[in-house]
Amino acid sequence: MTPKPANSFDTAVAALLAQKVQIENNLLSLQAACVNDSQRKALADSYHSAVAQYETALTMALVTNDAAVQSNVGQISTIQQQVQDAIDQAAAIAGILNKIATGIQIGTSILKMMAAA
Amino acid sequence: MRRRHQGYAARRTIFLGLCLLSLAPAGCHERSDLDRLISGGSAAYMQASQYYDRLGVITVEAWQNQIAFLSLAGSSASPEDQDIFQKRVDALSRRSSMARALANAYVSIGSLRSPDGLNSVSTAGKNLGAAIGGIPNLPGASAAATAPIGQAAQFLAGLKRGSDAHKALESLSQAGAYQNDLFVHERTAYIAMEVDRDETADRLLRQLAGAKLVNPSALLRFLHLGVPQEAFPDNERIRAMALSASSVALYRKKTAWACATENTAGTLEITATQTKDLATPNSSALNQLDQELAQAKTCMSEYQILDVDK
Repeated sequence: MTPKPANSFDTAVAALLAQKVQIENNLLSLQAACVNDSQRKALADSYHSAVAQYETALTMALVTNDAAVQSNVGQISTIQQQVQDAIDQAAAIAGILNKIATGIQIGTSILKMMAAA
Repeated sequence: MRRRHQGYAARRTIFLGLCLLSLAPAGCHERSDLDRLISGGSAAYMQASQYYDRLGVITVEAWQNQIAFLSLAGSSASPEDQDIFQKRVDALSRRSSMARALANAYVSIGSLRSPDGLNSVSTAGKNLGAAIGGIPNLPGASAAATAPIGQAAQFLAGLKRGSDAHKALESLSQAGAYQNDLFVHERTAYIAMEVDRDETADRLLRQLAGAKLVNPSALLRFLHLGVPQEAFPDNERIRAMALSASSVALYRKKTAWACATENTAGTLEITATQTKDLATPNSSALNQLDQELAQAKTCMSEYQILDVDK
């Protein structure tokens, strides 16, 4: 259940980010350089793709581990129920202590009766 | 050499005496460290949960920035684009839930340990104490002779709670280790998500300011000059100054987020390691847990203040 490392994230995603950043830093000047709508559309589509690629990679860094996360949440809930059971069991000590206390109280009464006799 | 040995023996006797006086059920030193681990672990996982919640908000805001940039580019977001961000928000939410579940589990273990959390046991203990207090002196015996009965009952109850807490923590050990590994392996992505939102916003601002579509002079408030935004004319120099002030604010936010990330990672690692090594609790590691937790909270608070001012 070892999480899949995001080590490759540093290299692969950095390249996708660089592509997105390059267009964002120069978007308006690139748009101004376009001579027709076809070029402007190509620029917009390229940027859209660059964004989608980078954001998908960023999301994938988490999604690859998601199944294990869900499984873990379930396991923790089970453990928490076990802890609650343990608390309930510990609370049962109260009954034992109360029985001891009752026994001692009865013993005290007997001693008092004996002393009074 | 003999004197040195005697000194050691004397110190050992004092230590054992202090242990007996405190009536620690599972060892003088260990009990205190176990309680510290339970409370520190709960706080560490709650901090991690809040970190993930914050990252979820950052992701939604990153999505808003990206929609604005796409719009400026003459494009628009597709349902597939939205799905990418939604998956990320969901994944972060699941991580937050896992951390919160761990925090709650530690709280439950804490209540297992705490007499306050076991009211019925506490009440029963008081009843027993009252019953013992009502016993008349036996002929030839002092009242103090009855005290060990109560002490033994408390000792056994404490021993059971201590043993249950150990078992519960051991069962959480694997989940805690996974949470730690997950954070370690993904933390580069967590930092990148924050940077993605802020730097995308910054690049958008620079494009808009460069095309004179927006006046960024309001950003000069970061310099605390005490001059209202209206006092600044919209010219090249003021725009450059405002964007420089924005860069510094951006740097401070990145630093605060990285600090919160690293210290949260530190708290998770110590909690996981200490939970795994229950048999050999380490006071200095628990001190470090307290320090890293305090630092993570400080950095997160600083980040939130800067984020409100953005």
